[in-house]
Formats: sequence, structure tokens, C-alpha cells
Amino acid sequence: MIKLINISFQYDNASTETLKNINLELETGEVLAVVGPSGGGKSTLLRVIAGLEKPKVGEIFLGEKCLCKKGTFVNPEKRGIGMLFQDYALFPHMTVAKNIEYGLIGMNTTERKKRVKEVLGLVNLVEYEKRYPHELSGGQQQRIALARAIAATPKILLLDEPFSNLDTHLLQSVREELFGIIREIGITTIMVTHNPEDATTQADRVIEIVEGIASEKNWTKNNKGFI
Amino acid sequence: MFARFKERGLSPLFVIVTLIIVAIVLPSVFIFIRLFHPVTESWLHIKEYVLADYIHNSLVLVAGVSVITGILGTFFAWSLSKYQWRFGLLLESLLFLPMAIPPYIAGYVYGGIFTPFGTLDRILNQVGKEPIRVDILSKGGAIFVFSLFLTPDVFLVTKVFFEKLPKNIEESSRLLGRNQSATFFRVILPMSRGALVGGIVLVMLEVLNDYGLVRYFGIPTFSTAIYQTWFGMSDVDGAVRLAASLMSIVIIILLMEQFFRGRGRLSQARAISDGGIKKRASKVYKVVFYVLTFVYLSLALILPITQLVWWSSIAKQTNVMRRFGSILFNTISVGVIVTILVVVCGILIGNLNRLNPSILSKIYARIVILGYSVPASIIAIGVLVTFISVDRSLSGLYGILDLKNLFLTSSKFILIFALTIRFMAIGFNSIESGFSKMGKKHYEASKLLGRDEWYTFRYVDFPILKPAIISAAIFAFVDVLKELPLTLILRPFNFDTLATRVFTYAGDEMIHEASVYSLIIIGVSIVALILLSFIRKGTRI
Ligand SMILES: Nc1ncnc2c1ncn2[C@@H]1O[C@H](COP(=O)(O)OP(=O)(O)OP(=O)(O)O)[C@@H](O)[C@H]1O
Ligand SMILES: [Mg+2]
Repeated sequence: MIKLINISFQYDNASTETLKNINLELETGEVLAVVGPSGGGKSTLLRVIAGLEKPKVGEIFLGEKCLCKKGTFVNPEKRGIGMLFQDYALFPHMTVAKNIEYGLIGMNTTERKKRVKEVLGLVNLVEYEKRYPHELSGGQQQRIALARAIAATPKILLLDEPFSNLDTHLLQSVREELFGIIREIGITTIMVTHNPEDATTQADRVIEIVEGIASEKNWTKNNKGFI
Repeated sequence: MFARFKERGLSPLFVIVTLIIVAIVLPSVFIFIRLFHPVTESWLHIKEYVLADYIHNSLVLVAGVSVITGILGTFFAWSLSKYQWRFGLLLESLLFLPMAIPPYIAGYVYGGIFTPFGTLDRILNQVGKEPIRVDILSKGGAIFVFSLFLTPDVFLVTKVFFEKLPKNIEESSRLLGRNQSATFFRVILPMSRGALVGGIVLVMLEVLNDYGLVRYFGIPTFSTAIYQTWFGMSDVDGAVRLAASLMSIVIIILLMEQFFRGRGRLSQARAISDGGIKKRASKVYKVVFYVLTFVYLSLALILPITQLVWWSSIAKQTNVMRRFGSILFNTISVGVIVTILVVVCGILIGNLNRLNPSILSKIYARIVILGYSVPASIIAIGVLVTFISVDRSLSGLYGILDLKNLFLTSSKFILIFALTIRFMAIGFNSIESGFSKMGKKHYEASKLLGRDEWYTFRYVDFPILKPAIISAAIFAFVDVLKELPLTLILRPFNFDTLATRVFTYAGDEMIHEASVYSLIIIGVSIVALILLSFIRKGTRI
């Protein structure tokens, strides 16, 4: 589904590479957890895959499509990748429905309305479409952000520490719900997490990134090997 | 470096912003080049006999005004942010309002009050007392007037700072055995040095920028001398050299600012507000505060406005209405055009800094902000020199097109250009702070949802940024409305704005008529200040 070949990345103002020669391949529907110490480069990896940063060398393929190699670079808006931001990045001046509609390009109004209902149903927040983001609880905001990210049926979903902004008492239910939804729609997912439990119980595979170097962990049962 | 640029591709945004920056820098470059022209006779004369005077006068004004505004502004800011007062909120708003009265207007108002047979004389005469002679048209008088109307600048900056100061700093000093005043002078004041110096530097630049007040008071300073040398003696190179000398003073002030700000600055992150629980003031403090505030507000607000209203009421209708429509039209049209340009440039430069931050884009931002420290008389000379050489090199083209010589120099374009570079910093500052508050996350989310740059700007960035853009626009418009020196020097023949009309009428002893125009300027500025405070309260990004 997605394939990274020899990806290296360096921030303009940094002296060393933040990502060093990363290779990774995921099958359709697989859920990958990315763990590692703070500053290791986990968020950077997601940003590179999303196209928000441009790798120094290396290639990225999504399905058959080449997103990035020497001389080609597909801009983030053309990639069809969904991302759930850590602080959700919901547009504060738009209602929930407008937020979700935002990414539904090339649909007519009735199609759009239908799709908004669908994804809101998926995250169990159908009655909330007229609310503004600041009128929602943290957990609800997160679910709306998820709905927005998956509304246009992206091929892959990126999550950067999806639970770090939530209160502990919410954590268990939100986590189960989020993974339930991911499994239900069968979307290929890469998730950065600090929680080893997420990694072992929810993911199909786990990689660890330390100082920009990735290594596969044998923490889960159905490990399929690392290329 | 070069390879990297190529690899990224020169974005159109980068190219446009670079052009804007070139336009800002160009006048200074032309001044610098002109410095290498041979020395003229009249410059030697100026240098020999009057330059020392200009320097002395400018420095005396700057020093006097800084000390007074520094003390008054800090006192008001500290009192209002840390103590409880009856009508505290009202007093706070009132203390900002003198900002709406430009010093050149205040100058002729105070001149009119204190001249022989002026308002003061007449009042004393009415009650049968001997007239009191106050020589207001002097350096001391100028310091007095500048200080009254520039104190809000310091007040504003220090107040914002004091409110962010964490309470525990004060409390730990008290627990370590220092009393209230020792805490203030040994802990608070050194900590707020940065803010205080920032506010005072603003005041200094404002004093050096002024032309109207020193001209009215007859004090020879750099700005009046530059004007004189150019227009009175037609000595371009002399004016350029004066401008360069003034610029060195400004540079010294800016370097001193860097030095005095020091390293021990409170970082924004640490400065958390403490919920705003204010203390009760002691009896003595209360008396001092109320008396000072009352005296200050009487002198800086009530007295000048009352005087202006009175004078306006006895102004001759025919003189007031002469070309009134065209003056209003000129003021508004120039104001609107410059405001739009300032806002658009601010958005472009701010956006470059947000999306592709680089050393170069940081330098660009720095240049824009520094642009505000360049006094108007220098900008005017720089822009004039630049436009004249552009016109000269285009004279062949003008011949073909049947345009007059110095076509650009004598058009409104030169004025609009100069005002735009002068006020760019103001627009940029509020837009930039809006951008940095909102960050990149919404932009990135929008891109990942499949929208391009333009759509993202139109439907995400712009709506979120709207309050910042509106404040930038209000700031810019009001500043253009009040602006005098640039407009005076660069306006086309027979082109008047509200501000130039005030200046010429006041100079022609038509102060009653000038007052009507002054009140319009002040009224619009007050409305703008009120709008801005509403916007500030209403924004929560
Ligand atoms: N915009 C940036 N410019 C320069 N360096 C950056 C930037 N963002 C991150 N870095 C650096 O890149 C390295 C990797 O950062 P990254 O955010 O990917 O780490 P992370 O693994 O997500 O850490 P955490 O678990 O704390 O979120 C860090 O050393 C960080 O300082
Ligand atoms: Mg991270």
C-alpha cells in the first residue's frame, strides 16, 4: 500500500539528519505503531509521508503512485492522505459540518451532505453538525477531526499521538472507539504513540525510531517482518 | 545555498516579497550614494554654524521627553495593573486617549492658550488678575507638549508587560524581606527594562519624526532644517547630508536600545498572568495617583479638546468650507490606498515568514520593522532623490508620451509610495502577531484535505486572521490620516489633506478654522482607538 525507500530528511536549520535512511512497507489495512524516545523523529516521519516536509533523498510510493523521488514531488493537497493532528487543527470559524465538508472536493451538495452524515454516524456525533469546535469536549473534537480526516476516503491515515491531549478518564473509551472505527473502515494506518499498550494490543506491527533510525520490534503476534 | 534555492524553486511569494523589500530599502540606498557627491558651499556653512544647534536641540527634546514620559507612563501602568481604583477601567481607557491628539495639533492649541492675549490672558483679565507670562514657544514648552501626548505610548507598552508579570515574583521578593518599594525598584523595574526601553524608544523616534510642532514653536531641529535646506535653499546634497546625520542619531538610539534591553528578559512563556487580583493602595499612594491622573487628564485631554471645540464654534464658515470636499476626498482616498497596500504587503511578508522561514525572510521582517524607526524627513528626502533620478532616466519616454518632466515626482504616486513604506511596519506587526498566534496547523490541515494555497488562504487563513487584518487596517488608516511631515513634503501642488490643512491654517494664524479640521482628525482617531480595544477583547484564536 505504502512504501518508503531510503528516505532521509534534514531540517533546514539542523546540522544532522533527522531521519536516516528509512525503509518501510505497509499492506492495505495494516496498522503500524511508531514508538521511540522524544525527539527521535516520529512526528517528522509522518510529516514527510504527508508531504509537509520534503525528504533529502529517497522515494515514496502510495499504491502505484509515486509521491516522491528525485525530481518529482507531489504536494500534500494532491496526495490523498488523511492526518489527525495532535491538537486536531479544526477550523475554529467553521461548524462541524463545514469542517468535514471542507475536504470533499468535486462532490455536489447532496453528495456532500450525505457523506457528512455518514462519517458523523461513524464517530457517533450526528447531532453535533451545527456546533462550532469550541463548543465540543476534547474527545468530541478529536472524533470530529477523525471524521474530517477520513471523509474524503484517503488511502492512508496518519495519527500523531492521538491520545496525548485527552484526560485519563476519557482515554480508555476514546481509544477503543478510535481503533474500532479504524478497523471498521479497514484503513491503512500509521500511528505515533507513547503508549506501549497501544502498540502491542492495537497495532499489527511496531517500529521504533531512535535518533532518526528505524528498527522493527517483535512486540506483536502477527509480525510480518521489516524490509 | 544557491543550489538549495534552485532545488526549492523560487516561489512567486518570495519574489514579490523581495521586490517589496527592495522598494523599502531603495530610498536609503539613494541617500547613501548621494553622500559621495562633492561637498557644497552651503553644507560647509551648515556644518560650521548650525549643525551643532540642530543636534543639541534634537537631543534636548529627546532626552527631556523620554524622562517625563518614562516616569509618567510607568507610574500609570503600574498603578492600574496592580492596584484597585474606583473607575479603574474608565481611567485606563481615558489615559490612552491623548494618543489620538497629534503633537502638532496640541502644539498650536497650547501656543494659542499661552500667547499674549491668548486664552489664558483673557481668562485672567476677566477675573481681574495680572497676566502671567509663560514662554510656551520654547524648548521647555515643546518638551511639555510632547510629553503630555506621547505618555500613552509608554503606558501602553509597559502596561501590557506588567499584566503578564507573574505574581509569585513579587511575592517571593516580599518574602525575602523587601518592602513594596524596594521590590518595585530592585526587582520589577529591572525586569521590565526591556518593555520600558521599548516604549521610550518609540517616544524618541516620534519626537525626531515630528515636523509640525517644532516648526510651529520655531525650534530648529533636524526635520525643520532638512525641509529648509531642500526647499528654502534648493540644496539637495545639503539636505541629504542632514538626513544622514539624523539617521546616525537614530542608529545610535537603536543600538542603545539593544544594549539597555539586556539579556535578562522575561520570556513570553514564563510570563503567565495571575488572574488579575489587584491590591488596595495605601492612602498616600491613592492621593498621589488621583491627583496626578486628574492633572494629566485635564492637561492632555480635557483642556485641549475644550479649547478646540470653543475655537471651532467661532470659526468662519467660509474659510472652513473652502475646498472641504476635495480635502476630505484626498485624505480618504490616500488613506484607503495606503491602507490596502500596507495590509497586502503585511500579509505577503508575514505569510512568507510563516510558510518558508529562512534567514533571508527573517532579515526581510527585520527591515520592515526597522522601517518604522526612520524619521519621515529622511524617508521624504530618500524618496524624492529616488524618484527624481527615476524621472530623469525616464525623461526620454515622457517626451514620447507627452508627459511633463518629473512626472512621477509631481504625482500622488510618490506620496502613496512614501506613506506605504513608512507605515508598513504597523500593518506588518499586527498581521505578523496574528500569523504567529495561529501558526501553521490549519494551513497544513487544509492542504492535507486537498485544498490549494489560494483556497486555503481564502477560506481558512483569511477568516482566522481577520481581526489582525482589521486592526492593521485601522492602525494604518489612522496613521495616514494624522501624518504630517511626509505629506507636507511630498504632496503634489495644491493637494491638501486634513493634516496639511491644519498645519497651514495654524501657521496662518487661522487657528479657529484649523480647529475644525483638528477635531475631525481627533474624532476619527478616538473612534479607531475604541474599535481597536473592542477587537482586542473579542479575539480568541
Ligand atoms: N521545524 C523544525 N525545525 C528544526 N528542527 C526540528 C523541527 N521540528 C523538529 N525538529 C527536530 O527534529 C528532531 C525530531 O523531532 P520530532 O518532532 O520528529 O520528534 P518526535 O519523535 O516526534 O518527538 P516527540 O515524541 O517529543 O513528539 C528533534 O531533534 C527536533 O528538535
Ligand atoms: Mg512528535
